[in-house]
Amino acid sequence: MVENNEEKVAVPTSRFGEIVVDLSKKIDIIGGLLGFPDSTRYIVLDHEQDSPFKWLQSLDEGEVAFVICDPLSFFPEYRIQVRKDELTNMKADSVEDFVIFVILSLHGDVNDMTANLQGPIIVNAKYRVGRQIVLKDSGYQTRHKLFEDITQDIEQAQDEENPGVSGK
Amino acid sequence: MLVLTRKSGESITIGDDIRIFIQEVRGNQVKIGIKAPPHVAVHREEIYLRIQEENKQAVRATQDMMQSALAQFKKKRSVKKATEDHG
Repeated sequence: MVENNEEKVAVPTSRFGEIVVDLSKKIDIIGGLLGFPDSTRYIVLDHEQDSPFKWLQSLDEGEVAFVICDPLSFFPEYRIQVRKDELTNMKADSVEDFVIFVILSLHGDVNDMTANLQGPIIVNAKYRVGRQIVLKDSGYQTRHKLFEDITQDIEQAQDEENPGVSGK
Repeated sequence: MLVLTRKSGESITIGDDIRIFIQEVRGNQVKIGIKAPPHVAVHREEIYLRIQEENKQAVRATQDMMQSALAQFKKKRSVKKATEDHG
């Protein structure tokens, strides 16, 4: 990484080419994400216009980037309990400062896209410091289908398009 | 690997600040108490490995895949909206 005097750095990435990052926007992930201990500094990149997704790009390893989203946009009932020890070194003065992201995985077919609700990332947005936590006994798993509920809606919509079937 | 034999009620210390207590042994199940400083993450290994595996799957996402995921999202959202407007 080449640093200049404006606190901006150029980071080579495998997906986005060289990106210029304002270091005041970086997020420190304490200990890194599980399995990626060498990446502790990340930046959030917008995906596309109207996209619910974002990229969490490592500043330490250019090829390390994850797709993340606000879990509530797909799982409105999602609630987690965070233990006090999980907030260590996160400057947790106020719960309002925290945001939660979940990491998404793709498995071939886009309909099979899943969200890891068992290992969310909690971020103190005020101090830009976060941690991936592991939920125990929460009932959440590492693979919750993103599009499942919406598929049911499509079936319902198709039924309504065929009023003869339902007798409407 | 260091192997120690312990009885129920006995413990092991690791460094200055980690203690492992054997609380109960019953058949092939052992109840273990762990005292560790807050910066030390303690997880059941299988859960820890599952999250690690999932992160490794997630890092394989490409821009092309996300392009189709977004298209899918928009398609499904517009159908959903149409359904709601109908109802």
